[in-house]
Amino acid sequence: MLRGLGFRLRALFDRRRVERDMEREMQLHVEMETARLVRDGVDLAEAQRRAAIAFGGRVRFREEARDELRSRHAEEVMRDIGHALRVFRRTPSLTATVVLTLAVGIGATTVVFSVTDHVVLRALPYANADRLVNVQIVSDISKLTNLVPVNAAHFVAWTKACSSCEAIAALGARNFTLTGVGDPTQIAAVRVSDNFFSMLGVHAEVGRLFTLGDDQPGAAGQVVISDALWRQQFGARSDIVGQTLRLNDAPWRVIGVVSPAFQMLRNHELGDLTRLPNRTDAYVPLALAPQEIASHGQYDFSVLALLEPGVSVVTARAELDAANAHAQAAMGEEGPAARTSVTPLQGQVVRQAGRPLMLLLAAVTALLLLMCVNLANLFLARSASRRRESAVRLALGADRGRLVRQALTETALLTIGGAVLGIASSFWGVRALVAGAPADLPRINEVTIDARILVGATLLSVLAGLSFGLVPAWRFGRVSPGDVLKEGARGATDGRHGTRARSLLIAAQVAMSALLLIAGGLLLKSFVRVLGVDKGFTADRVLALNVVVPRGTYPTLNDRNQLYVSALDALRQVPGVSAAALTSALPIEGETWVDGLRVGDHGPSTTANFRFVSPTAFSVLGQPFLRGRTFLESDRGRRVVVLSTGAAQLLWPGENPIGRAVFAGSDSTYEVVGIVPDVRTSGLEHAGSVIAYKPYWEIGPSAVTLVVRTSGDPIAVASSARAALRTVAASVPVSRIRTMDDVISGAMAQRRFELVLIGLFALTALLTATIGIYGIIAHSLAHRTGEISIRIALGARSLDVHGLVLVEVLRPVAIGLLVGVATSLLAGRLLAGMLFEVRSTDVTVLTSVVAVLTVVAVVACLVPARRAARTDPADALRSG
Amino acid sequence: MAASSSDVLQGTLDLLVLKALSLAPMHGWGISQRIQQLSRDALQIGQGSLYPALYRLEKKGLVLSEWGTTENNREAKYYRLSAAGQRALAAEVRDWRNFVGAVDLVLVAE
Repeated sequence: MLRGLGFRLRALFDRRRVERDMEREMQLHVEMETARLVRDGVDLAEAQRRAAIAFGGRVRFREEARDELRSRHAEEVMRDIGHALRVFRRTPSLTATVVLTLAVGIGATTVVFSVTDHVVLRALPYANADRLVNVQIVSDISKLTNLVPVNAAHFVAWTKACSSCEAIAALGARNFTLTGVGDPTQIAAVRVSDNFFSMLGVHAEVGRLFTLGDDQPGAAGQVVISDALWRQQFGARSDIVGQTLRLNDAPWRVIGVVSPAFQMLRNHELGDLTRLPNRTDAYVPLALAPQEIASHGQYDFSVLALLEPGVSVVTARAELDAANAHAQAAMGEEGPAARTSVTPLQGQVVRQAGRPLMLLLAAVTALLLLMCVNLANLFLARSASRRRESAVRLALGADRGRLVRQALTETALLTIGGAVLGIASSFWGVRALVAGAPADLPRINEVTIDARILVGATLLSVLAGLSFGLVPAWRFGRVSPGDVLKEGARGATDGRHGTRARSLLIAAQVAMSALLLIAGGLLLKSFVRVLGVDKGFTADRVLALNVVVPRGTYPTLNDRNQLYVSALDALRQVPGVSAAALTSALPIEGETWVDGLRVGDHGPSTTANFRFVSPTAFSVLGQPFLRGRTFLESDRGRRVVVLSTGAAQLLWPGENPIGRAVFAGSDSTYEVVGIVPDVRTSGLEHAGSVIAYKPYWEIGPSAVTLVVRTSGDPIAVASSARAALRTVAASVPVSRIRTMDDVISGAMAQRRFELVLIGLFALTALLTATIGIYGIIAHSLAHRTGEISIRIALGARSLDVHGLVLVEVLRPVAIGLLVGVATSLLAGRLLAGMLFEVRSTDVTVLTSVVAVLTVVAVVACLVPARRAARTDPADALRSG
Repeated sequence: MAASSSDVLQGTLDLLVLKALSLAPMHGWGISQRIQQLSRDALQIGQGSLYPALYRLEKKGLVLSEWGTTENNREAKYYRLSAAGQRALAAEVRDWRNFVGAVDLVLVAE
């Protein structure tokens, strides 16, 4: 192939010169011929005429010469493509398998990689993202985490004392009810300090954002709204700046709209115990009130800092710790000062999503490898069956290079087909993945397929194509026609070399499917375990309605309590509703209102989640009373509390708690009237939390969840329940309606997402391996018809033939299983964080996977084995 | 009998060109003259069809070319056989002999 390359290159790159040379050469020829004729005595004019005739049609020869120079190559390529297409038409199922396998492999890898890239690998879309840190306080106040939000006093101390920080900002969620624009709407707002936007490098779309000085008391009443709110509520009106909104019945002036490019931090991205809105509608100045700074118990704020360039996290933490100690000493408090935790924001935001996605990336890579192995297999088998074809063509004088080029053309076409399909379907796949992903996955909405990913996917396709395309090409190039043709005449048994390659491929496939199946199995078992946890409540047919009561309309405790009585009454009247109740927080939706429980002045104490509920809440949410009773109307005005078993056991181990007195988040004692089980609070996977329940009428909370038990499908009563509430309180917005089943499945969203994805990969892997094993065995047997016929002719029974095949398959399957299981044990730690009450060495899962794969392998090879055993030896030997 | 130009089979033309070049490097016109002369005018190749054949052989790497000057001091493109060309010539000559021999055997049969 290299011979004549220089010539061809010259022809390609210096076409003009080549053409000129050609012309000169032909001209010279005619002149020389003319000269010869003149020497022979012909007169010049006649000589010229005869020379031209002798030369022939110059134009035609020039054309022919030109063809020889360049188009032969292109023509060959076209012929190769034509040949490949004919081959594909002859073997449609093989072609479809190859293209689809490639498409799935490339598509899945592209999708998973683009998600991982956006969620984990890419820098946060903020200015100086690498210098942004999240500051929290280290504390043992929560059972879930030792990191808690910051209180206002800490923040104020830090703003004065942090020289490592270029800027330090605080955020706190705050809900508003927007009135005067259509129905009353709930607005999820965040209080931010005046430097927040400039610190993150955020720009205004319209108007301006908060700037230094906007935190002063005089600047209160200013609001910045999100692009989404501006478009949805105000139709993107350009005169929005300067308008006054009624938020919680107070006037707020709009000063600007945030750029739509800004992605606000959300949910738990700034720590487990801070809940920022999932979608922030508005921003108001932090404007700390003096009593907020004075109150040390309220850990309500998230703090972001932008470190000076080159300052380490450790230095910053030491400085903040010193500031804490200084502030504490200044206020004359005793005890150790609060310690701070400083975490780079990037790591903080992706911390939970990172591991599952990395696992996913590993899984998809394994799948792609498996598919490539499988394709190499198919091609190897096919090239084996076409060895005779190529041997015959070589014997007939075909150019060896042409054969290799032809094989490469075929794989190139298949790869291009697969890649195009795969990349096209990845666009669809990304959309499906984003739609199915849990809302908590950070920055999931940003995920798109961009040029970089496409380049990556293309490279991947080329690699995949090369990985399996080179094998047959190489084999073609090495075929020795004499040997093959002789072998064919003998009715060939398979060479030792082929057997070993086959075993290796089978083992590799089995190992990789085993890995994926084990991961899938462990996740499935975890999922089942989570489903089966004792939640501490049962809520099959329960509808939950979140409402926020505007304090402006219902200013006093009494107003709100009366509203709740009539709201619960109205809900009870709704057809299909059997009971209605009220609670300040639903189970499994996180820790709220954490405060202390203490027996006597020096008795045992604990922290607990406080809930404010109506007497019926326990029965509606299916929390059984283990001892005592629920609240009664007669308890109004008395200090009573219902505790969860955990609290009772900590405070009075082994004793009857009913009737005892406890300091419950206040300086006065409460009488314990009932005991209910602990309830899963922070998701389903953390043990139940210690909880103290008080009657709602004690504080009349303004944000509550109304829960109703229904006789039929809870969703069916949703609209009538909403209507019933409107008749009682027109100005109270219902911000959310969902069933408790939704709440529970929401808590499992992440796990379900992981399970479904890994499960899909595992099943695809199983399918691929099955097809692969079947293909290899069927193919090898088809080639050994001669050998098997001889065996049968010599008296081998059907059983013997089956045994022969089984032994040959089971050995590599066993090796593959061993490798797969061993690898999964070694890699178990990667998975351990995603498992729930299941160990990565789980015997049931490992044995089931081994069993499934063995059965699948046996079935995959029994089908061709049966066909082989049915061979009529006479026929086969005659035709061989 | 003189074969007309179109009667010279393509493969045969290549063989003749290779053979002519094996004697000495020469330019296109020289090749046509040499073939005519060696075949004692029996073979008259179409002089123009020589050039596509030369380019084909050059692309296969069987002949090499460079510009030189003729005895009349004119610029002309000279062709010579490469090592691969010499091998190919040997192989083609052998094949040709086999072919001719086989055809002969058929023809002499009664």
